[in-house]
Amino acid sequence: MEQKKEQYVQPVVVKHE
Amino acid sequence: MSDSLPATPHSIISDHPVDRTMLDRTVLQPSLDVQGTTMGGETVLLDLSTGRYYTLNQLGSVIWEHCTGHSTISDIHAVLCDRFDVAPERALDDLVALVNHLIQEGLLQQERR
Repeated sequence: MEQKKEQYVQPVVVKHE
Repeated sequence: MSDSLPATPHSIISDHPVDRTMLDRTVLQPSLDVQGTTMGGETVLLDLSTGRYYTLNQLGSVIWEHCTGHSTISDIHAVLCDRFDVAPERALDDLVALVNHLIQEGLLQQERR
């Protein structure tokens, strides 16, 4: 059975004040 | 007689970008002054040396959680490809881009094995 994979979103880092 | 220090098996590299030819020999770990907490799949990083804080989204958090000084960049890439629906080339490009950003901000250190 094919493994169900999670949806991919681009990894992001946000810098704050 | 030489004054050089004894050779160590690992060497910390400064803030240079990741060498893409050495992904299977490069491990990542948080910088000494960086504290991280993951909540609800997102991570907050606090750099105590600068007072700045950063947030990572879910994918960034997965990557950060593997930056413990044990996994190579190739290992982390394999985790992403195994767990997420993504082309290997895109996963690698995004991984290297994020890691380079974190190194540039002083949040991550890379070490060569």
